[in-house]
Amino acid sequence: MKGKAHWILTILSALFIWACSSTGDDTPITDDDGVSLTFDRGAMLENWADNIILPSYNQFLVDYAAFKADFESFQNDRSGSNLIALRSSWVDAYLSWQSISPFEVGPAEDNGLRLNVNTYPTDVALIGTHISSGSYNLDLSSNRDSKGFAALDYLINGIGGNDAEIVQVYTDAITGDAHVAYLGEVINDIDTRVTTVRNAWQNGYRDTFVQNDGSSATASVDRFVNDFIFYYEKFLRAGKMGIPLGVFSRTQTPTLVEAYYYPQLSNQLFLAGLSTVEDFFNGKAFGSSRTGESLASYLTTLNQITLRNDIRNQFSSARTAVSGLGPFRAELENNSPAADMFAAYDEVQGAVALFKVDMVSAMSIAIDFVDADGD
Amino acid sequence: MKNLKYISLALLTGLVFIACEKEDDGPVDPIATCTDGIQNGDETGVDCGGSSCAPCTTVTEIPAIYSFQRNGESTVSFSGQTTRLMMAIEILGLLRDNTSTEAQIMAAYNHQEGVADFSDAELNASDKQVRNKTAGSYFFQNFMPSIASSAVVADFEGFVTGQVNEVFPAWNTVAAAGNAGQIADGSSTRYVNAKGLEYDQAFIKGLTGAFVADQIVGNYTFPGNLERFEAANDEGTIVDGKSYTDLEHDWDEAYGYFFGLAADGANPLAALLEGGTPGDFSSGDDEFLYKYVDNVEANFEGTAETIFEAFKAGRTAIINKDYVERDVQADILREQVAFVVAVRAVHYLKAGGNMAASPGTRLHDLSEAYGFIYSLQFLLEPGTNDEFYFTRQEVEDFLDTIYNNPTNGFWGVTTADLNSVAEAIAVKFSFSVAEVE
Repeated sequence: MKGKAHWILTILSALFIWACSSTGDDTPITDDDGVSLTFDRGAMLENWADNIILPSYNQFLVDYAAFKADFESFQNDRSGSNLIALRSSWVDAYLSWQSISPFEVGPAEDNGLRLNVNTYPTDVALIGTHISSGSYNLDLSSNRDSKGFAALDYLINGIGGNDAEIVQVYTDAITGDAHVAYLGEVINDIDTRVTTVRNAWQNGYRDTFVQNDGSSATASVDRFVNDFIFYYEKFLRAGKMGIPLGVFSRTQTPTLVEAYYYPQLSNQLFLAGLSTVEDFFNGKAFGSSRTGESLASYLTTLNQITLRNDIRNQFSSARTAVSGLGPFRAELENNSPAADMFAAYDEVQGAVALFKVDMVSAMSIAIDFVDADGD
Repeated sequence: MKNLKYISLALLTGLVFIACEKEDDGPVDPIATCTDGIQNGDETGVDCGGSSCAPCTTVTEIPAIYSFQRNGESTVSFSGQTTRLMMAIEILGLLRDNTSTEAQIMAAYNHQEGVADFSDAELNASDKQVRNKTAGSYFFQNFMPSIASSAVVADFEGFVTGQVNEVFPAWNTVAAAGNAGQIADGSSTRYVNAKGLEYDQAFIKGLTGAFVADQIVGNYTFPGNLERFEAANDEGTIVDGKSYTDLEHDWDEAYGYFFGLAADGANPLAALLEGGTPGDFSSGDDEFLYKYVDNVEANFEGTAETIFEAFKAGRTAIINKDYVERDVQADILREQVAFVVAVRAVHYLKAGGNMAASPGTRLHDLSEAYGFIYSLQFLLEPGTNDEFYFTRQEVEDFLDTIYNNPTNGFWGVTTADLNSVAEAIAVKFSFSVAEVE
């Protein structure tokens, strides 16, 4: 009798196991709690393209049109008050640029947009040569450090010791017009390039981008995540903080900060870039609080809640640390070493490993960029 | 990982010792053991000492760093090589400055003592030059003088002429297929001829073979050259006013071509091996083998150490008058120098074949590939008197495939063309194209 009960129990258990495992056969991969682990990469690409990238380009062009209008006014009436208005809309446009700078894929990459629009430090001597000769080609890559937002910074904020002197430069009877003409050329160059890229997104690239929703090394998600981490590492972390700090060269160099001639802006430009990174990570629609599929929701689906929260917390630590600093240029000029700025840099650096190691390994994305060999 | 390797080596060595001790139990034949190349019987050194063999002479051990003394004074000197390497770098600077004239660059290449060809007064005062060391080794001077003086030097002068006459006039125009000019490569700007070649890259990377590698393998470690100084070395004859023998100095000069611009000349790998990662390793101003061995390390760890060890072991063998051992080390250097050049050639061919990269980036990679491929014709093969890994003809065929034959040169070359050359290079070595990143 006892033996029989054992047999029955065994058979029943076997049936139970068979039944349980068979129910799993046709359902998607699930984790221990039965949550689906599949993630719709196409929906994430759509959210990126339609709610973040394109609206950001469009808003930039709106802000830039306002800047251009202020330039028209300044060109016609080169007064101190028009210079102040011009500077104010330049600040808005420069901040707005920080919300499109990370998106160097497709048409932006083909046009080398970032290096054409925001190479700094600017080459003051080269700008002087261009203005006095009146002969220059802003399409040459060797002229990238004589145009873009950094050249505008010099032309609007640094070409004279104060506003009166700056106005003097543009009203000079002999050379004033040449200066205004060059300022206009630099302003148009940015406008033309960003418009070209935005139009390419509108006229076909958006669909190319969204439809390439696979998971190979050349798929949109893989490539874009690579470009995005590259931006964070090289342009946000190194360009705006690490290089002027001398993290790589061991020489602290205040002249290498972004917006050197308008130093109160440098930190804002960094924080605007950080906001773009943060909003992109969270899939937040541009200019709204709505969110869609994103790297954050991808991590949630993959059950990487801790990592997702770690990344968010690291952004927050970086923001707090940088917000507590004086203007980068002053931090660098007044402190050697600039200990507070170094500490803030460490918080910014903290996100790199989370992105570049933990996040990409969770998403099975290979990092394909390497440091240039330096020659 | 390294520690593990050493532990297993120690274990293996222990096993070998156990095995040997057992064999040594039997009777010893003194005639055989004094010439068998191993320390056995009651020998106190290899084939010497003990009851049967001739007494041992004191043998110098291989030092940890490249540092050798006689009577408490250093015998190492390679300042002439450091000077020449610095001259080459200044010539490169002139090639990249569109205000340089052809005569000015040629004069710097063919520098004469006291002429102000360089920005550095010490270089101006020097009687050294780069041109006479272009395919200027003992090997080329004695066995292939016509190729050296007419063909190779003419190639380099052609790069200079091309730069001044084709590229400088187009300095401020945008390059395109069939048109010389400038082109963006990331944040850098590159200047190319109508076929997409940067002559300055062809010049400097070509010198890696024609100047640096040739001086190392074809001259200062070349047995046929060195044997002329063996008798004086045997007698301990010191060069007038110096602390070294001729032969010791020759070997140091080979070393100087490789490591002459290292911040620490005696310990050039310190930055790399003591906790440094390959990418962070600083080769200072060097533009040649010392610079690129670092890149090779990234895929083939241990290459730099193998080269450094061979330089030290060969120099020690010269002190010990052991010329067989010296030539063993010379062969290792031939193999490793060739390896570094070949790996870089393949690396740049692969990079240049990546059609997703921007045109400027690809042209730059291909220009570097051109120079490294050119360098392949100076790589003597180990264990031979006059055999090269690649003949001049083979190198010219490679350059035809990637540059001369395609329409508009590098602008028209296909990934398949580039891969075919990469495969043809790698097949001569122990690495595969896929291994090189």
